[in-house]
Amino acid sequence: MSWLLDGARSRDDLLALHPPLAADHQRVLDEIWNSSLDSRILEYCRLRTATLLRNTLAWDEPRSVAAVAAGLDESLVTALAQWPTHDGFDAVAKACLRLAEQYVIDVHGITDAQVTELEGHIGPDGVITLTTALAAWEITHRFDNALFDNAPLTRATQGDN
Amino acid sequence: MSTTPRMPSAIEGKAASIRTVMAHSSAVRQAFDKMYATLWSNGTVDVDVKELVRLRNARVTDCGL
Repeated sequence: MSWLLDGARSRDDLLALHPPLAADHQRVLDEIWNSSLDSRILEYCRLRTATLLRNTLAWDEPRSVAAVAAGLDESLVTALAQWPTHDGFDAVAKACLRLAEQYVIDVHGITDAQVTELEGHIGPDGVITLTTALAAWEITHRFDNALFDNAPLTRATQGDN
Repeated sequence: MSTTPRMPSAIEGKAASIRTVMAHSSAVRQAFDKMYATLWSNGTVDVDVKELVRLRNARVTDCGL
């Protein structure tokens, strides 16, 4: 429920109040999901940052179509909070999740060595895509938190994933 | 904070900058830039107010750019 628009049930309902922005926002997301970066890893990062920013709507909406098509493993989604020690997340996923958490918690703590390591895994195009994706998701998470009554904290906080 | 890019330029002969580094993922970046331009050029909020919000946000997040 949103205090901005009666009957609004989703982010898209609110973005429809500004059609040009809605179209541009969708194009950003489309380009991110269509990029060469593994969409399963992108979905891990989207959901993990949602948890850190306490956006439950991101968890309740359908998973990324691209990630599901790429074979997203829901058991790993459930285990997201354990990614640092979970064997199901490979070195590439862990490097991306490490940056995602650092981006949200302490962006100034990102180091040259961290970016160099990540670049070794996903290339410079992947680094730029991932950081832009993190920016886009931070926008949507905060948008949801600001404009929706996010009070019934469900999966994201109860499961701490 | 430092404003020196951590990555090389994607454009041969051009120094590393926010623009040339972002060119590593040009399609994603162009889409983001388009959305950013729409934020500035559309809507009912006065552009002066938007700039004040941008600067305040930059201060709060310690953005050196």
